[in-house]
Order: sequence, then C-alpha cells, then structure tokens
Amino acid sequence: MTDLNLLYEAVVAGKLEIAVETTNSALAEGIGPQTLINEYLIKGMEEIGQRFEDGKVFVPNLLMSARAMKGSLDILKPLLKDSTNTVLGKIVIGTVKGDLHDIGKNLVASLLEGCGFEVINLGVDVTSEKFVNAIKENNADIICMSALLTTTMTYMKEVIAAIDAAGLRDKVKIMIGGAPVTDSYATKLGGCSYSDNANAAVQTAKRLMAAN
Amino acid sequence: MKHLQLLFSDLSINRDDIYLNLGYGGTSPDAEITQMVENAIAKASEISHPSAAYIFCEGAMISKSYLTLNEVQMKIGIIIGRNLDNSSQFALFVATAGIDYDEYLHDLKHSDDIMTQFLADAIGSEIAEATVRYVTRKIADEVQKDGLFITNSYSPGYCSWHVREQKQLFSMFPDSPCGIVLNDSCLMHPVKSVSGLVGITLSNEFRAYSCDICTLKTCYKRKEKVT
Repeated sequence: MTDLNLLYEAVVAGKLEIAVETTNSALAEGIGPQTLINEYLIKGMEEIGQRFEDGKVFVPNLLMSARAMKGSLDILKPLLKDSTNTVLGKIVIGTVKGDLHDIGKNLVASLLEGCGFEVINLGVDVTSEKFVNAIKENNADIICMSALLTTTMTYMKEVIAAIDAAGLRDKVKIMIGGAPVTDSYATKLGGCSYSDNANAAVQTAKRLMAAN
Repeated sequence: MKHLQLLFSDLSINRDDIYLNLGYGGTSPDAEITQMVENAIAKASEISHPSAAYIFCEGAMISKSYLTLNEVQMKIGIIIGRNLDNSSQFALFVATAGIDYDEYLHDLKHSDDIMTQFLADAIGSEIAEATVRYVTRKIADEVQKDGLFITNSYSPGYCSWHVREQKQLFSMFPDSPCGIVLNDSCLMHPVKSVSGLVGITLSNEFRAYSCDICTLKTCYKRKEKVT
C-alpha cells in the first residue's frame, strides 16, 4: 500500500519523480485525485511556502516544489470530472510593453500554476490591448503585470486605463510586481495589489480569490 | 573604441554572487542545487561568448549631479557625483554575455523547466558582471601605467542615475558596441549586458558604494554578505 505521505514529502522536498511515482501508485490503488490534491499536494505547497516565508528555504526550493506538484497535477487533472474544482482561479500574466525581462514573471507564473491556478502567460512586451483581450477571452479573475525598469513600469497605468475603458475593472483583480515597483506605486495606481516575491504573489492571489 | 572578445575562461565567475542572484542572502544552497548550479555554469561556458568595449574621454562634474563628457551632459545624481568629483578623465564601457547566451535563454523559455531558466538567468547576470570586472581591471591596468587609478564603476539605473540616461552614454560609442542595442525603454539587447563608467583619478580613491543612503533595495550592488 502506498504511503501517501511520500506525496506530501515529495512536494516539500521538490522531488518530481517521487511525486509522479507516488501519484500513479495511489491512483492504481483507487485513491481519488481530489483527495491527493487537497490532502497532500496543496498541503505540501503550503508547507514549503511557509518555510520560504520563515527564511528556511529559498526560491529554487519553491521552484522544485512547484515542479513536483505540477508533475502530479498533470496526471490528476484529466481524471477529474469537473476540472474547475481544482482551479483556484484564472490568472493572466505578462511583462508590460517595452520590457523584455521575464524571469521573475515566469517564477510567479510557475508558482501560481504549481499552487493550483490556471495561468495564461502572455510573455513579454505585452500591450494593453493584448492584456484586455486575454482577460475577456479567458474570463480571467486576476491580471498580473510585471516590469523591471522605471521606464516601463509606467505602462501599467495605461493597461489599467484600458481595463477601465473595457468595463472590466469590477471583474478582474490587478496585481503588480517587479524590481522598481513598490507598494506605494500600487497605491498610486489605485486598486492594485503589490507583491515583492513569488511566494507573496501566490498568497496575494489566494487572498484576492477568497475576497471574490 | 577598444574591443575585447573574451573566453569564458577569462572570467572569474563568483559563485557567491550567483547564489545571491538566486535569492540566497547569507547562506549557500544545498548539495543538490549547488550541483545544478555547477551544471548550468558548465553549460554557460559552452554557449557564452562574452565581450566588452571601452573608450576614454575628457570630462568634469559641472555641478553636484551633472557630468559633462565630450560635451555630452549626463545627470548622474549626487550619489555618484560625489565619487567622481576628482576625475577629469573617464572610461566608458559596455560588457555583455553575448547574443548566443541570450538566444539560449530565449530558447529555454519554450521549455517547461523553470528551474533551468532561473539558474541560466542568474548565471547570465553573473557573466555580464564578471565581464565588467574584467574590463574595469583592464582599464585600471592601462591607466596605472601613467600612475593613475580608477573609481568604482557606475551604471545607469543604479545609485539614482536614471536608466534613460543610458542613451547619452551609448551616444558616445559607435553604433551597437559589442552588438548591444538599446530599445526605446533603454533596455539593452542582449539583455545580459551592462554599461557604465569609471572615473580616472590621481590617487587611489576607491570608495564603497553608498548603499546606506540609496533607496533601491533591489540593486545588484547591494550585496548582502554571504556567511
């Protein structure tokens, strides 16, 4: 009989192969995918997230855990009758127009995905029009914008104006991040949530979804 | 303009700086991640073709914040200005990990492996920084023959020197030095590139960066000590 704690431990330790093997073994024994997700995968990610907040582990550990969780989720999701049960929310993410930096944005996207969000990653140099279209097409709950330069972070204001103009402001929450971005800048933009690291972004996204 | 085409082996890659780029402030990764970093460095050594270029020019601080170089005026700010006020000669430089490494980073984005992307990105930053260290050492060696010294290096985007001023700095180089081009947002391509300057002084006045009075908490110069 499969020791299901191995799944939890594989996520915490970031062991992709063990996570996949344990998931397959558990399924073969008739354990439901929702149980594996709720009782082991999510709890594993919560634990590694807490360790990160406590300064006990670092970004690479978070990424390894997210990768292990995603490996397991990729097996489990197709088995769920209603996949919406596993999705915490839909998030459109991108680096704003003029900026080509994306590793931080990709870290956030990867962690969000690993933690159960559906993520539509628009890449870099994303125009306001592209953001708005993606929100509409995907019925997104949250939009995340990233910028690494003081010369490009100002474009976030244009995206927000375009969201307002499209009448989407009440339907989508806005998150921002990136090296030059600050909490006070988020306040200045109005109605935005700022996160200064990938794990905090996940926590913010969860909080915003809970407030919906 | 003097151009330096370097070998990866010319560079002194600093592991502690890579760990800092990966988010390890004050500690080192575990054995598994350390090995992944080493593998990524080995891969980078095959792909990266670092290069640098530099020029010398006359100049002077004309106020606490403004520097004029060959009639080009730059607002470098008070923090940098106070460290350059004894210089009347300057060396401007660009340094890059190279277009091949940029393409490698770009290709990695199509994979699903965020860990490899993250490591390669951090190592690319260190390659560019190591290239800066190489070129500034080269400049220091060159001016030392005349009994002169160099200051710290400073780059647009740091120490309150606005990144948009990078256009002024690039205007003093021939087009696309080392293949580096600026976009409208003053972002360099290849992304893993650095531009900057050093002052040249009569006495050795190498001073610590003024991180205590700077507000840019995410600055790469704000090194937390690795214990």
